[in-house]
Amino acid sequence: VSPLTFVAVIIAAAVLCWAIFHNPCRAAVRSSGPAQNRRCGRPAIVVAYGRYPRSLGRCEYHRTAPAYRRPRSNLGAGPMTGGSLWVVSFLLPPAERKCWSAEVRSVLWESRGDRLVQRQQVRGFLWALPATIWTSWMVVVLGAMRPRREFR
Amino acid sequence: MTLPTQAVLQALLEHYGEELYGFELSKASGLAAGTIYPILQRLTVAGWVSARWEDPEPTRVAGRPPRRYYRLTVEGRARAVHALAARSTSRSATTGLLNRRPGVEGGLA
Repeated sequence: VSPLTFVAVIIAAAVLCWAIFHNPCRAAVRSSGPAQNRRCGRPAIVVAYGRYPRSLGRCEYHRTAPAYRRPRSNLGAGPMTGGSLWVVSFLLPPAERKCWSAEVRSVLWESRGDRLVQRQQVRGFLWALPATIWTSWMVVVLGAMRPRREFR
Repeated sequence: MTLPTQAVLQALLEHYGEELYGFELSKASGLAAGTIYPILQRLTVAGWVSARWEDPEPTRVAGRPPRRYYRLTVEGRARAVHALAARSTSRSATTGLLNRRPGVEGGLA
């Protein structure tokens, strides 16, 4: 894999993440004055959840709007986290992506009995993502990676 | 060698000869599976650890995703023992240095 491909993949993934998460709030800020028609412009991820503290950047509309009016309000934390993991898996080299996704699925399935452990594992995968991406690409770029033919 | 790497090697040494899958290894080492994944990746590339995917047929019957099994190789075991011993020696030397009191012979005056 050439360095150019590496950079292109990183940029493509960043654009993909931006497109998904930076879906700005379409609600007009409720105020009387010149700012009446302004949009609050918060990313959807910020305004989507009812449990999110109000002080952390919800527009006035989203503070009071019923849940069904909030962006992606039909999605719970599970699909959102799963979707995030799926999106960020595109940052990994193609050979490694399948292995990593299978490992995530396997670990989450094994820990399904305990929600706390499951959350810890999800957090672990997300926090360790920079190290995983870096290691995977270094292994590929340095040419030390053997093809993982054992994966089915 | 980082502390998580040491914890992973320790867990693999304790279960030498057995195959451990990601979640088991996570429990044995006390680290999240996401943390140990890049470590195992590096150890696999270095030849310290061998990894294989489980046969898909039993998993299909059991209705669960396939597991990836990791095992310490013979070479990996020798190197891990050596590396952990070296780390332990250097750690005890550092601890000894820190525990020295001023005024005591050999200590910082």
